[in-house]
Amino acid sequence: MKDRLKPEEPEADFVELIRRTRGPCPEIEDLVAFHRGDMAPERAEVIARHIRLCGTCQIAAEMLTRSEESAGMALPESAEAKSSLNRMRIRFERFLRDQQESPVEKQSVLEWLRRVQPVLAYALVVALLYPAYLGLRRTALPAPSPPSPPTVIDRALPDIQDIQPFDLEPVERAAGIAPPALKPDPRQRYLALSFLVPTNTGSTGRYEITLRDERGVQLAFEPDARPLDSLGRFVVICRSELFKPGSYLLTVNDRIRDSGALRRSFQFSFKIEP
Amino acid sequence: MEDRRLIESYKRTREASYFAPLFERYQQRVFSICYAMCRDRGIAEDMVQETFVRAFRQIDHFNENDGDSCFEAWLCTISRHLCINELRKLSVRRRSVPVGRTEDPPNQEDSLASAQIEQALSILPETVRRCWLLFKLDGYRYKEIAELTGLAVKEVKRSIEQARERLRRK
Repeated sequence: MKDRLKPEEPEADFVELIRRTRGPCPEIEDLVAFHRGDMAPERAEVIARHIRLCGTCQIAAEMLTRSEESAGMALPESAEAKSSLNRMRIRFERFLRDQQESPVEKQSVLEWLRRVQPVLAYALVVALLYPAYLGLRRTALPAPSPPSPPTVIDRALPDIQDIQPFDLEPVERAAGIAPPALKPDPRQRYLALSFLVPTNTGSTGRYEITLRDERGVQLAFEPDARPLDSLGRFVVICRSELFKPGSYLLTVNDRIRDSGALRRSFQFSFKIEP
Repeated sequence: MEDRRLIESYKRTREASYFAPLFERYQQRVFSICYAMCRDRGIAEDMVQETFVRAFRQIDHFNENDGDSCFEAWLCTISRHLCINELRKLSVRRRSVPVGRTEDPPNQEDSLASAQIEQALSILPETVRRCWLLFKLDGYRYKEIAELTGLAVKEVKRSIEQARERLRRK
C-alpha cells in the first residue's frame, strides 16, 4: 500500500499552520509532570494545547497512562512471558560479564586511551601532563624567571599518535631482573608511564608520585594523583624530550590525606636508552 | 540484601555481582512498564535491557543514601523515558521538528490560530483526528499508525481519507 495521498494546497497550508502553532513537543519530564497534574496552570495549558494538536504526544500520554496502570500488576504466568524474562536475563548477564571482563589490566596505555572519549582523554592528558611538566621544568632546567605557563596547555592537545605508552613493573616484582628499558621514539613527543597500585577504596588517602633520575634529582612531583580506574591504574604523561638516557625511579606513596603519614610505598624503575 | 546495600557495595567495588540481584529484583516490573507502553514484546525486551544498562552506567548519579530516592522508581523513570523516546525517534526523524521546552507564553495571534485550528479539527472524531495528525504532521506511515493506535491498517487509511474529505468540505 502506498503511504501517500495526493497533496492538496489548502490542506498543506492548514498542516503548516498547525505545525507553527503547536510548537515543539514538550520534554518528557514536562509531559510526565503534566500527566501527573504536577504543573503550573499556565504551563499546563500550553502543554494541553500542544497535545490536542500532536498525535505523537497523545500516544505518549496514553503510554504514560498505561505504564501507571501496569503498576502492581503481575506478569501473566505464560510461557511467552517466561521466555521473555529468560532472554532478558541472559542478555543482561552477558552485558555484566562483558563489563567485568573488560581487559583493562591487559591493555596497553595506548589502547586504553583509544577507548576513552576524546574529551576525557583531553582532561586526563592536561591534568597529568601539567604537574609532570612543571616538576621537570622546576628542577631539571634552570628557571631564571618565574616559569611561564606550560605551552602544552595553551596549544592543542597532543595527538594520540604522539604518545608512546610504557608499562612499568613494581621493583619488588622485577627483583633480579633488569629494569625495563625504553627507547623513546623521536616521532612520539610524549611518554605515558602506566602502572598499577593497589588502591584503597576510601577517600582517606592520597597518592603522591615522585619521579627521580639516577642521581636522585627530583624531576616530577604530583602530590595528589588519582587512579584512572578501580583497578588502581595511574598514568603519567611527560614530554619525551625531557628524559635523558639513564635510570629513573618512580615512587608512589600512599599517604593519609589529613596527617600526611605514609601508609605504603611502591617503586617502579625503568631505563631510558639513547 | 537491600537495594541501598547492593548499590553501595557495587559503587565501592565495581563488582557486577552486586548489580545482578537488582536486575533480578526489578526485571519484571520494568518489563511490565515497557510492555504496557510499547505493546510489543521485542521492543519491550530491548527497552528493559537499555533501562538496566543505563542504570548500570549512570549508577553514580543515583544517591542511595537520600531517603527520598527509590531505586525502583528511578528505574521506572528511565524506562518511561526510553519508551517515549523510542516513539519520538520515528516521528522526529521524519519531520525534523525539535523537541524541547516552549518557554514563551503563547501570544494572542497563536491563541487565535490555535482556537481556529481546534474548531476546524473538532468536526473530526477523535480516532480520525489522531490518525490524520500522525500521518500529516508527524510523518508516520499507515502501518506505524496502526501499531500505535491498535487499529487495522485499512481503518487507518480510511480515517485519514475521511479526515481529508471533511476538512476540505469545511
